[in-house]
Amino acid sequence: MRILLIEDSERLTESLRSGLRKLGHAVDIARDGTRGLSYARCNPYDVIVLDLLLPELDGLSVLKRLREEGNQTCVLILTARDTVDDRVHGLRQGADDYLVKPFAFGELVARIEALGRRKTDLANPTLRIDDLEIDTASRRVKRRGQILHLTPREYALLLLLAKRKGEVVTRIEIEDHLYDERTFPQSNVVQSAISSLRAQLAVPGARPLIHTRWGRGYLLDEEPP
Amino acid sequence: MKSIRRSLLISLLGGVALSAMISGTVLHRQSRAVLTAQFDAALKAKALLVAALLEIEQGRLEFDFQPARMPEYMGGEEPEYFQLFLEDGQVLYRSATLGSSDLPHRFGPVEQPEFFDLLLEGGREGRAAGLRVTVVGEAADPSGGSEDGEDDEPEQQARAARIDVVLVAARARTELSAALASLRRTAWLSGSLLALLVLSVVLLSVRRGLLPVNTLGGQVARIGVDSLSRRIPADALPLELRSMVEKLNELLDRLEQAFLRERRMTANFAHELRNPIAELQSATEVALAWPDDEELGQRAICTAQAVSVRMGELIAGLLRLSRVASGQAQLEREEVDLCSLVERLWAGLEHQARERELCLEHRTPAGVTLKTDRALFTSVVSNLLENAVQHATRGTSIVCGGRRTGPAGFEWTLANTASELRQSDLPHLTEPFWQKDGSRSDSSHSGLGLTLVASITEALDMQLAFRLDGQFQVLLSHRDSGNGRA
Repeated sequence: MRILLIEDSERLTESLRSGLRKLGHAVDIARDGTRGLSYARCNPYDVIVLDLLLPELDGLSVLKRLREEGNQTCVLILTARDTVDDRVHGLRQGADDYLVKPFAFGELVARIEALGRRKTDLANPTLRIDDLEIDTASRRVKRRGQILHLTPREYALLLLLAKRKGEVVTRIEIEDHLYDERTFPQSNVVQSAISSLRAQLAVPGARPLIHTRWGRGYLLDEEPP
Repeated sequence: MKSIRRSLLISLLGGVALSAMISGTVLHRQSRAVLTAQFDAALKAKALLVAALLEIEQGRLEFDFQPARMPEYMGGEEPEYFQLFLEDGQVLYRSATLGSSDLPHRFGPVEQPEFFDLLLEGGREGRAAGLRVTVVGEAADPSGGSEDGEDDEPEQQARAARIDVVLVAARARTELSAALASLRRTAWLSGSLLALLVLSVVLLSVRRGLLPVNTLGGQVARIGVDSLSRRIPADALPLELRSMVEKLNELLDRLEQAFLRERRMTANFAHELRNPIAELQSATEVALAWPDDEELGQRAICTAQAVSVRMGELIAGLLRLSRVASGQAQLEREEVDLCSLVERLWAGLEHQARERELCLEHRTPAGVTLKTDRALFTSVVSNLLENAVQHATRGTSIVCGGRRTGPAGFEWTLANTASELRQSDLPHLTEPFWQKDGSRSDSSHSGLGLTLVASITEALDMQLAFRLDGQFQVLLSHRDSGNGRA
């Protein structure tokens, strides 16, 4: 998933970015409300993690403007404000979730991933494509009953393709979802990642699931259309 | 527990009851006296009527009583009595109604007869009037008198006889007793009715009078922690309560402000704690999740170190604030040269000021000293100068100047541009943990600096004031109280 973290604490954003990237997510950071709004307008994020007390433009104003502009990206408010009124107000302004500081990193990740699933209307955390099984809750992937040990980035790529099963996903879309502003992917980085994922999925007796559409992108399906 | 209603009822009812008793008694006595006086007057008149029948003829006392003209002395349903005595008690005449019994031989002069109660025959209550009358008449003529009547007058005068006779007249006082009994009954009845009426009126009046107090009590009782913004309308209240309610509303204003300040402080303090803890928790959890990643581990250690330093500073600031506010800080007063103090402190800030293109216009004349605690006063000036350097608009001047206002009085001002500061911010400047930047992004400040400055200046008997008039001005002063200390 590609995540936007709008938070002014440098130490907090750095540790969150590291942890989320380790889990295969692309993370962009904005340290003030104005920049956060600008990033959210320009990039297709799966989830926005939003602090409320921000320099220049406060979090609720950012959220309000996004919703007024029709931006429906899932927003998780991460703040030190802990009263019931604050939570209710935040959720009524259009936030999808609310987490109070200090928080457990694991809980934040679980909430971000739950919001990611909500975005793709995944009521069931398990995706099945032919003999491939992806448990999005535990991030476990099996093929023909065999557990596959994917890297976070391979998992993120597989999940992106699986969520759009049967659709061609362009190279730019893959780059947008897998790489954040800090990463400058080479021209063959997507191709390399696809190759790596194909190799991981190639268990004995299984047929290829990732298909290339030259000049357009890649799709994941049981059989090529 | 004291009750206004009870006190009012007791005092009003007690007062009214006492007044009613006194006035009732007086009225009763007065009425009885009037009735008795009327009765006595009638008795006296009757006695005088009887006395008028006495005459002296030829030296002999004659009593021309005609029973037919005064049948009441003969008997009947309402008999009356009289008895004639000589002054020495010798009985001259008794009315037939007395039979053989006597009336008491008590009397007064005719102008002021003696009236007294007595028991008549058959045990009836009666009243009598005893008076002494002097009967004047012709004395007996020892010579048989002159035939021609010449020169009689002086002789007649010489021969006039005077006999003092005591007349006691009595009659039953049934009518008087009945009238007095009726008066008593009427007095008791009207008194009881009056008491009931007064009780009702007093109860109603006290209730009506206390209604605004009860309403006010209810309104005050409904004001709680969650409704401190509520105010009691004073216009509809009686004059006596209005000033009290106005004072109460002022108190509520202050209480609300104090609560709001407390809440802001708590929220800011919570924020001040939550953020570093969140940083620490995230950094350590991420590092623990990937223990092989040295960079994450290193970052977690750096974060832990930075957070612990910040928390330590926060706690030190709080402890210092607590010590100063509770008066535990020991004051050691000595002469402090204001000019050299500012110059020394500015030297430490010069590098930072240069980076922000700020310069200091120092207008304190040399030799201005004040007697104060050097360490605490230094921390005040240092804090104010640091604030000025950090918040003044880049490329501007910071102006400070001091002067003596008396043997122990002085004024010191510090002015700088502060474009972000608003007039509404001024009351919050000394609140603990308050920061102009609502996001509190600047982790190098906890918002305790000016709180400490305010506490220290108070401990040093100084006044601290802020003004925003184009520039942000801090005014530090000490009034000359004549004790020679600042």
